[in-house]
Amino acid sequence: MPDSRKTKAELLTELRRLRARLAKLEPGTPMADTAAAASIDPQEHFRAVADYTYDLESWVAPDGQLLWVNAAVERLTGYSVAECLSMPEYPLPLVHPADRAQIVRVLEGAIAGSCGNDVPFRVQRKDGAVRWAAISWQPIHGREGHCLGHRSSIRDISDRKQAEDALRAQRTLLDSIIAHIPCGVYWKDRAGRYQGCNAAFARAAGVPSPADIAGRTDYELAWERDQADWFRQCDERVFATGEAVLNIEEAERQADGRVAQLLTSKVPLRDDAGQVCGVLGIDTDIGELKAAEAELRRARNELEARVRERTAALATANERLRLQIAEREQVQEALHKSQERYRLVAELTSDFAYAFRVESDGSFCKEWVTDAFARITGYAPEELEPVNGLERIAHPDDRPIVQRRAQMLLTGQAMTTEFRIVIHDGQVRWLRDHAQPTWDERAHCVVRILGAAQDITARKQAEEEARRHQAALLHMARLSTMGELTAQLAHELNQPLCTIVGNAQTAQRLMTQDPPDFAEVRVALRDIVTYGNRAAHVIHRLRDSLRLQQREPVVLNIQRVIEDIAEFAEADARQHDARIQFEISSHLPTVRGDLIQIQQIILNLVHNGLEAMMEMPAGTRTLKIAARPDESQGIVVRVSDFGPGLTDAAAARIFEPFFTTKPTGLGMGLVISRSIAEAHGGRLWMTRNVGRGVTLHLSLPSVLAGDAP
Amino acid sequence: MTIQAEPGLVFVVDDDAGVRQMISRMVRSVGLRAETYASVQEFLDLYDRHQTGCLVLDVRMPGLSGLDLQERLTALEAPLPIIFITGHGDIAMGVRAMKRGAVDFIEKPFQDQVLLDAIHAALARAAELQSSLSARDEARTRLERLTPREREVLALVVTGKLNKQIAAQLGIAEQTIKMHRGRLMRKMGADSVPDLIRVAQRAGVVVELPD
Repeated sequence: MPDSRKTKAELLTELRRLRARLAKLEPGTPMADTAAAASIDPQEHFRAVADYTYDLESWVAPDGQLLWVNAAVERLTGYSVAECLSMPEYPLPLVHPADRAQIVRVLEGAIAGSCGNDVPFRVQRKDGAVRWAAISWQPIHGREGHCLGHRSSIRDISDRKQAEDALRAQRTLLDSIIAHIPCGVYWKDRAGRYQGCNAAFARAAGVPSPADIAGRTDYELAWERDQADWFRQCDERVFATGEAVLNIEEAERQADGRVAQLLTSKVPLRDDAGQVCGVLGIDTDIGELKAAEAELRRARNELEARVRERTAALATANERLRLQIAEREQVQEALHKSQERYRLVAELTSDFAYAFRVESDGSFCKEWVTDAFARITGYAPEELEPVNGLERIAHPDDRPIVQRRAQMLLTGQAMTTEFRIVIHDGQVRWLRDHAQPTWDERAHCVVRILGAAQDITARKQAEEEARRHQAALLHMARLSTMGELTAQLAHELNQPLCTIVGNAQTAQRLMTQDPPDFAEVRVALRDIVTYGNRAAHVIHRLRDSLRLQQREPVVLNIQRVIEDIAEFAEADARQHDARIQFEISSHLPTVRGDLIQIQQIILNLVHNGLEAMMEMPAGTRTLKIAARPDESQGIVVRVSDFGPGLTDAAAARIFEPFFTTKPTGLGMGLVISRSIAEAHGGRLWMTRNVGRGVTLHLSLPSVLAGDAP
Repeated sequence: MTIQAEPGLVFVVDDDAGVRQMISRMVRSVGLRAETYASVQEFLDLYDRHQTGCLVLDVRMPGLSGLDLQERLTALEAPLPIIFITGHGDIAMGVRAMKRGAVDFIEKPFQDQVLLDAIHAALARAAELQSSLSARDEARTRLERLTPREREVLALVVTGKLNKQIAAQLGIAEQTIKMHRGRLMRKMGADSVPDLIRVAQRAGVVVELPD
């Protein structure tokens, strides 16, 4: 057979020829069109298939020389067909060094005529990457049965290899999970025979290792029969329904005798056809979990309780905070308002504010003073002397006050001082000065004085007026006390009386002399007449001052009149260890009269009442002063004492001149008071009280009644 | 000493002219002399401290009061007893005045005899005062005439010491002491030791008698 005798050279020649023909099969050649396809040579057909087969196909001569390799070699190894054909030791450079020995053995076997399937090895690509491949090989024989070498087919199994690796890793992971999961895991077939389990379940079931459980049923394990029945029952349910039974809580007596609280789930296992072929069980020991759960519940309750408490506390705190904030806001609002007010006040009133720096020698150095200073003093703020300015404008008589104020301020004490200043035009004005020292903790001394001064001249004038009025009232009040009036009368009348008596007696003596000195007697008698008249004049003058000396009558609010004398009356009461009770109606009609005279009457009545109670025990001495409208549109003031009262004889005479029940009395008070009341168109009378004491009534007509025609 | 024939002098000080003149008239009606003054100051301006008599004085007056005048006259050692008159009957003031040596304290109005009796009593006291004052003045004059050595001897004689003791104490001869003693007795106008003691006391010499 020519083929069998073909030499290598012949084969190579044939190969070249085949290659040339193969080249003619390149796409785009006229031979590639469909019409021509039917005329394709069957040999061409085979070659095309061989060349385009996905796996790497190669043909190696019996001497090991590579005869042919298809294009897949480039995809798998990165080496071109030409590179492979010219490679002296093909295929070893394509093989990972670790697997070369194996491939060498394969090649030697193949050359020897063996065949093999799917031997895995690693390909080292031209770019250095490593891929898994599997080689299958077989000898090739010619038609005559002679050996043509062998062919090999190399398949890229990297993906399969990866999948296998992944599967193995997964399997390992799963095994690890099953082995270490703190649950009992087991699986059985439909007959209830265990196929496998993990270590945890094996321990519970009382078998030495998971491998020992295979083939056993629940009746051959550690548990009691009824328990095995129950397990079986559960399994049957899974088989019957084909559905998982989840989270069965059960107590299980385990191999070590311990009764475990288990939470068991059983899941059906299915074969490829979807038929239920077994059951997978997972037991979770929930004893600790239960305890932990109970513990957790308790902790949670406690926590909740604490949270509630804390929440309540927080709510309270919040509320308090809210209130505080509200309060603060109010305060701030108030502060703001007050600042605003201060600002307005500072601008609109005559107050001026100032700041003085305190020098080391204690002098006050002007920092600033507000413009109101100019309005009050007529000096511009700049004109205030820089050092101790206020003291310099102080009235000379009041400078000691200002100096003392400065000394007190230096001790850190706030001061309110009233003093006079001499203003620009030489007038005297009163200031009321509030000064606040700023204390420096570190320096331990006062460093600054802030203050404000107010022009109180008008008030001072009013006060002066009031004082004058009070002085007059006080004078009259004193006069109205009988002792004082006696002294006054005595002094006024004593001198003329003394002169009269003395002259008369001297005249008598002169008449008895021999001869009588008539000239001297005449002079004595003249003086008697003169001083008798003078005494009469004193009486007239006294009357005038008490009754007839009419001041311009004014409209009087009797409530105010009584309020004005309350202080005197109460002072008098204190001296008598008594107290005064006022009962003044509001809305009293006004009366017209002399304020001081009306006050004098009331004070006189008060004094009489207090004197009348002196023999009563100190705690019981109460004098009542009442004022109310009377029936004739006027008013009536009643002064009631709770003294021993008066005898009929005394009551009949109290308005007589020189009648008195008091050891030091002159007996003129009520006489004068009545004459004043009558001069005002009113009346003064007395009534006995139902209980003790007497009441003196002073009625005065109202302004309206007085003005009526 | 001759008895003065001149009638007693009464000084009247009162701001009230009527009272003043009335008292003057009353005083004169009993044969005494009267001088009137409207104020304390007026009186002080014209008064010679050696004048004797008595003073009728109103307690309360504008300016210096009667009590002020009393104080000044005491300081002047004036021989002028005071009768106070008052329109106020001020007991406390009366007590004060009497304690300071007033002769009387009379309330206005008064009976003429009450005042006249008081005036007579005051004038009698004035005479006593006058004579004791003149005696004192005379004693002082005599004392001033002594030599220092005579004064030393006097001081020891009035304590009752004997000439021998005095001589020993002063370290001089007893004979010399005798001479000094005779001279000082003469100068002091004393006849005996008790007499000498009286005169010395009147002149203000402090006499300490031995126990």
